Amino acid sequence: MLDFEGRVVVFFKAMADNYKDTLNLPRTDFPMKANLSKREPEILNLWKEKKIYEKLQGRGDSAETYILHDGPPYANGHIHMGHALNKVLKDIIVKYKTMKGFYAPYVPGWDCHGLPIEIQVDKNLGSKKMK
Amino acid sequence: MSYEYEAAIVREFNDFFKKGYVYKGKKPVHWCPSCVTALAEAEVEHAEKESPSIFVKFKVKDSKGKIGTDTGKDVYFVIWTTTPWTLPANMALTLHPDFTYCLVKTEDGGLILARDLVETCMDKIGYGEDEYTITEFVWSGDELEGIACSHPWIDRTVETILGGHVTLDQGTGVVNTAPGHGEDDYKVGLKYGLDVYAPVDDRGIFTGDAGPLEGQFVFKANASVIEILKSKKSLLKEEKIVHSYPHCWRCKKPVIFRATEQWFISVEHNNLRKNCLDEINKVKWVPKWGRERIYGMVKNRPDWCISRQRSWGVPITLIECRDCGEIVDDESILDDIAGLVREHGADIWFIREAEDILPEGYRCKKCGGSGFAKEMDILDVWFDSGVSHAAVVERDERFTWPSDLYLEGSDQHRGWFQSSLLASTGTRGRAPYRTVLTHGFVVDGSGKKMSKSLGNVIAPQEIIKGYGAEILRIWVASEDYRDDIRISKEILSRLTEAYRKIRNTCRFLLGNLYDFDNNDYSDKLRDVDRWAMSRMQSLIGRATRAYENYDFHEAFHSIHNFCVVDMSSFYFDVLKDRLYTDRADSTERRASQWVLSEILSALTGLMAPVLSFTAEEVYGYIRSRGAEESDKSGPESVFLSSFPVVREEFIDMELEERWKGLLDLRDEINKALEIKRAEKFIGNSLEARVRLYLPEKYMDLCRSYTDSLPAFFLVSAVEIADTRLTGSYESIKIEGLQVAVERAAGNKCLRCWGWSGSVGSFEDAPDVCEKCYKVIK
Repeated sequence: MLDFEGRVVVFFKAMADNYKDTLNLPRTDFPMKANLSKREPEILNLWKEKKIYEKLQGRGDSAETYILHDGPPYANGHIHMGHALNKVLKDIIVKYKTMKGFYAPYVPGWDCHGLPIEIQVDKNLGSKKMK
Repeated sequence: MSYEYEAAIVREFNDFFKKGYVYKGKKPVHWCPSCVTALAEAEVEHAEKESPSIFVKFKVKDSKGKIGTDTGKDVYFVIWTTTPWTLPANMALTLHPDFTYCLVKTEDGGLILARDLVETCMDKIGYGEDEYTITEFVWSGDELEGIACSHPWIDRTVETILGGHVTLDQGTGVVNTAPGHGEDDYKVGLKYGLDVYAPVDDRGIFTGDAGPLEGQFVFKANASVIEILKSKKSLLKEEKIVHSYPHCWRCKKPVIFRATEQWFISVEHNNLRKNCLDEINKVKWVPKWGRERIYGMVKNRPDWCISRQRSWGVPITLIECRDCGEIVDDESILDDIAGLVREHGADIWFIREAEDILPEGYRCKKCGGSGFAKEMDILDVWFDSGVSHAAVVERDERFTWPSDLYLEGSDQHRGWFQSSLLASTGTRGRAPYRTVLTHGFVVDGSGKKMSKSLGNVIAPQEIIKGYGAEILRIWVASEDYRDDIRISKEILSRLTEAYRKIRNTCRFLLGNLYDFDNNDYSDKLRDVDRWAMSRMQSLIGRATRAYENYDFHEAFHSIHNFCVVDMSSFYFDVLKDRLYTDRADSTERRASQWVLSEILSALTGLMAPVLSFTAEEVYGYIRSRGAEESDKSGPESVFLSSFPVVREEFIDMELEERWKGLLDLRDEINKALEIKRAEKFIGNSLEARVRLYLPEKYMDLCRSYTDSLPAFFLVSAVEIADTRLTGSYESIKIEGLQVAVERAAGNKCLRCWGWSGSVGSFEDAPDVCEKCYKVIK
């Protein structure tokens, strides 16, 4: 892409000053460098402060609903890429449906297995298990 | 777990019980001797295991005239098994009714096995080709039903029976049948009335019934069984094999099949299986093969074993009479128990005595007994999660039932999708979801599973910190999640580059709108603008369809291509001269700004579901620009705005088609310019003028755009030649096209950098061309 930070700008900078003022060169504060890991938390805060999610939920009465039911997770400790894949897919769908005008609440599923905990308990107290 | 959820589980269980699905039966189930519990299908994982592989002969005791009399003295059926420890529970030998069986003479006697497997088995057992003879005694399986054989060491008559589950994939075509230790064995045993016998305790140890094996752990007892067989001269061959074997998902140890008293939900009661299959056909499965998968599983699944001998979970809240074993089934009592759990949590079941749970003075309806016992097993966790449709979706006021979508990994056809389907169809008569979408699993760049030992694990937090959550989101959207999806440093840098292109597209759009007057210029567009608007509508259509169909990679790549191909490398390039050098308020410049502003807002909306952070960031800049124009009426977040819709009036497929020709020409001209640039004949392409010799089909197209061609091709002049050119670039892609690159005539305009004969004609501005002169004066 020939962006305006590229060769066009280099050229215009080199030009006689009196003509430069007659051109309509692009102007914006939108940074070229994304700096995502710094900017993302700011945007998250913005969403929180402006209560954007809450405002979307306010549609409840009037809009058509779209219900994505989040499954109960099997919580085995650390977050891995599989979780990220699953949750991002869900987020994409809910956001798309919301922008299409649906009331699409997202309620995270909770773990009702408790199994990993019991396995740990079994490991620690295995031999004392009643049976 | 919340009391509310626990109570919902109890209510759903009660509902199944009231409707008559729940029964207690002795049935073989996957059993983990290490965790001391029954396991559901979904709790079993397959892994490699080394097992003995043995061939055993069963002596025919009474052929009932079915085998004939001149076959020699001793005749045997031969079985093959990898679980010698199930032989104490052997009750029958199963043959396939349609397979052909034959008698093979050996020095060990006459052996009967499937005709098709004779050579393989004889070879495996170790008979040389001259050490056995295939006789003319041949039968179909159903001719051999009901022959009495002797168990190798137990005083038990074992009969031949028939079953369709016998295959010719492995073994001898004669199957060791122990109804207490196998699902198929159990089913065929039911038909023949065989005892569901399993002399193995909770910890996988043989009980006193197993005679000499008493006290031995089943897998260790394999060796003892083999010794016994040897001493009884029943063992034909013994070796080891490594095969895929079911293991416990909790402790990862091998499991066994074992008949125990368990609680079941019948899948035949009330036509539950058939109703589930009908529901499966009504649900949309993404990807499509999900339907076949779950259909096959439900079609063949056994009754649902819902009891577990664990201590951590929601109890099976049934109470039985100590005297006669009758289960208390008063609806009001069942409802009260659910109420108790809601108030106190499921632990109340373990705290209170049965008599305290029942109404005072309650007596067994059958025998009048007054002593009661609580069931102490807990429910299968897949029952707990399977009723989330009732506990969460039905009860949460934000939701409506059934759900539109369940979305999990493709391992859940066996797990949650199936338990939810059964739980909902059994009590509500329909599936709890309209669509079920599954994704594959994450693997590394070369397709390997991620594991600590391979050192190829990438954590999401690492990506969020190092690249940004946006890149993680793009990764999800850019790959086809239906298959296993790959991730690696290389993939991430490729995606970061793709992100940069989209971001720069947004930046160009924002940067050129700083002085736009926000008026509607839709009737002032040039063809190139109309082309861009039409392309935009095509993109909106394509991306919308892709989102609707959950084809996110299609949506993402369409957006990315639009930014890179249509916008950055063509439309923006062509527009720059107009945007930068025209009079700021010229109609042409304003019209192009109007198009840019339309594209910016549509693009922001299209990318928002995936590039949520960047879309919001761009949206903020669009709004703040609006503020300067005292127009801050739009919603305060891109997510409060509407998803872009196709505007039919801007679709011009005929124009797009025509322009495809121009874009093809442009690619070829760029190649010719690139050669001259490499030769240092020109620097910037504006230093060139090109002469084209065109094939017939491009002639009219180019003549209709004569004035615009220099801008399209980013050169100072374009001339269409009538005769063939010499020493020019000959296109391979467009046959007959010749491109001659020459230095542009005149001088370079210091304002617009174009070359023109008019530079130097103006005394008060000798460095500029006529076009620029008109703008600045």
